[in-house]
Amino acid sequence: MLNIKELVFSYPKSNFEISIPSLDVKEGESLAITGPSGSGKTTLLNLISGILQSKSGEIHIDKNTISKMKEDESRAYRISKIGMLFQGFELLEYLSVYDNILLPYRLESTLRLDEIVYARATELTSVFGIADKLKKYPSQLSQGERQRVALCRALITGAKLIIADEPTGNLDPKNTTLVADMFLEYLKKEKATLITVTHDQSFAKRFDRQIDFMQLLQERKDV
Amino acid sequence: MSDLFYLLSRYLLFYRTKIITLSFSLALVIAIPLGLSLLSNMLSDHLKTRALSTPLLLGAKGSALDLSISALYFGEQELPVMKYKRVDELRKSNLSEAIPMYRKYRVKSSPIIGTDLDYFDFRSLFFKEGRPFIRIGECVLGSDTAKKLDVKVGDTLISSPESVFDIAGAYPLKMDVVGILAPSLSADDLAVFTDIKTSWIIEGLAHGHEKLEKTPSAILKREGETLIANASVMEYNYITQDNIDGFHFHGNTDAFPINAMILIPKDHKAKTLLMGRYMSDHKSLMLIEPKKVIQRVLERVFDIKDVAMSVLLLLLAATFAISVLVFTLSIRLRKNEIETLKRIGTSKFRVRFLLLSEIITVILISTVLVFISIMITYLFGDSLIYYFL
Repeated sequence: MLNIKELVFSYPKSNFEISIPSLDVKEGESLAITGPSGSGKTTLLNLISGILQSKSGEIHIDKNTISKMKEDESRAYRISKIGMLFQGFELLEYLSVYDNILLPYRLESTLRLDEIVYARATELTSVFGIADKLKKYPSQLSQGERQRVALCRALITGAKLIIADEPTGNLDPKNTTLVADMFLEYLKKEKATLITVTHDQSFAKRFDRQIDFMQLLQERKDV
Repeated sequence: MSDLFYLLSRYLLFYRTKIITLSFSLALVIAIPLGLSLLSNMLSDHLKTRALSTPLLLGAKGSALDLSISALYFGEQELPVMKYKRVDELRKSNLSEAIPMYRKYRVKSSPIIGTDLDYFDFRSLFFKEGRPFIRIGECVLGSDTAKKLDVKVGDTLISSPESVFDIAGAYPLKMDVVGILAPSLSADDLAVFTDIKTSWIIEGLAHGHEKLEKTPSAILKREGETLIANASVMEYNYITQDNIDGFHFHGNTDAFPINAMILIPKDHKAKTLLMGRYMSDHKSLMLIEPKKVIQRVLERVFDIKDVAMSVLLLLLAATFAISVLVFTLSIRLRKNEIETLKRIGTSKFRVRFLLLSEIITVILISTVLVFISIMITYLFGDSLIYYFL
C-alpha cells in the first residue's frame, strides 16, 4: 500500500529536517508511529498525504507516486483516496452531523454524491452509533460523538488509506477505548490501511505494528 | 457549484443573525442618505411646482413665508386679514385676475377654503364626481378628504366648531357636498372648498333665520319698519332652497375678511406695476412672489440637508469600517476551518469561494434592500410629501 524511499524534507528558512531511508506499510495493516513531540511525526503524515512536498525521495501509495504529483493533483488524490482524521476532529460548526460526514463530496467535483454514498453514510453512522444524531450540530455533541463523526467523514469516500494524527488526543480513556475498538474493527473488515501518530501507548498497542519515529530517521538535523 | 452553494446556504442559515444584522446595517446607512436626497429633491420639486404656478400672492402685512405656506399648501398659520374690497380694486385695475381665499375653519382636520370658481380653473382641478358649488351652503371636496370623511356627492358635512366653550363664536354650518375633485397630488386633495360667502356665514358675518313676523316672541323691539330680534331667535345652520332667501349679511361685504389673494397679472408690464404698487412702503398689504419665498426656504432646507448628509456620510464610513472589521474577524475565526478544508483536499478556488461568499452575500442583500427602499421612496415619496405638507 505505502512505500517510502530516501525521503528528505525540510521547512524553508529552518534547519529542521527529516530524512527517512525507507518505510513500507502493507495493505490492511495498522501502523502506530510514536515519538517525542516536535520530532516530525505530523510532518511525515503531511508528506504521505501530499499536503507537503518532499525535497527528495519517493512516496508511493499503491501505484501512485504522491511525491511527484503537482499540488492540484495531490489535493484531488487526497480528498478522494485518503481519509484524514485530525486531532481536533475539525468539524465544521455550521454543518449538521450528516453534512459534515458528506463534506468531501461537496468539496470535490470528481466525487459524485449518489444513492451509494447515502447508503454508505447510513451504514457508517449505524456502525459508529451516531445514527440518531444526524440532524444535530457539532456543538450539541460530546467529544466522543464528535470523534465518531470525524471518523465517518474520513471513511465516507471508501478510502483504503486512513491517516490519523493523534485521533484520541482529545478523548478520555473510556472514549478512547470505545472509539479505538469500533475504528480498528471496521478498518479490519474493510481491509483499509491505517497510519496513526499517537502519544497514547495503550492506544498504540492495539495496532498491528508500532514504530518509534526516532528509529525511522536516518539522521536528524536540528538547532 | 451547486454543492458550494449548498455549503454557503448552510453557513448563512447558521449565522443568519450576523448576516441579517450586517446586511440591514449596511443597507440602512446607504439607504438613508440616498432616500433623504431623493425625498428632498422631490420636496423641492413639489414646492417649486406649486410656487411657480402661483405668480403673485397678496396678503395683509406680515410674514411672507406664512402667507406662502398658508395660501399654497393650506398650512395652519394664522394670517392677518385684509378686506374683500381689495379683490374688486384689483379686478377693476385691469392689471390682473384676482382669486380671493379665506381659510379659517375646518371640517374635522380638513381646512375649509373659501374662494370662488376661478380657483378650480387656475389650479386645473377637475371633477371626479358632481359639479362646482353654485350657491352658498354648498361645498366641493378634495379626493383625499372625501375618502377620509367617507362622504360622497349628495351627502352633507358639518363645519367643526371653533371652540365648544365660546357660545358667541362661529357655530357649525351644515353644507351639501356637490362635487368631489379628481386627485391632483397637491394640498387641494386635502381641502374642502366653498364659496367665500359660505365661509363668512360660518364666521357669523351672515346668517339666516325665520321671518320675525312669524315668531313674535323673538322680536326684541321695532324701530320703524326694522324688527330687531332677541337672543331666542333660531338661526338656520343648514342652507336649503326653502330658507336660502332668509340668509343675509350684516354689514358691507367689502369689509369682510379674506386672508390671501392669488394674482395672475395680465402681462409682464402689469406685474411690474403691481409690484411697484404693493411691494414697497404699502402700509397694510404685502405682495410676494411665492417662487422667491419658497426658493429661500429651500436654500435653507438644503443647507440643513447638507449638514445632515455629512453626518450620515460619517455614519456610513463608520459602518463600513465596522463591517470590514467584522469580515476580517470572521475570516480569522474561520482560520481553523480554512486549514481543515485545505488538509481534507479542497481546492484554493473553493476555499476562497466559501470565504468571500459571505461578504458578497451581505453586499448583495444590502443592495437589494437599498434598491427596494429607494423604489418605495420613489413610488410613495410624492404622497408622503403632500400628506405632510
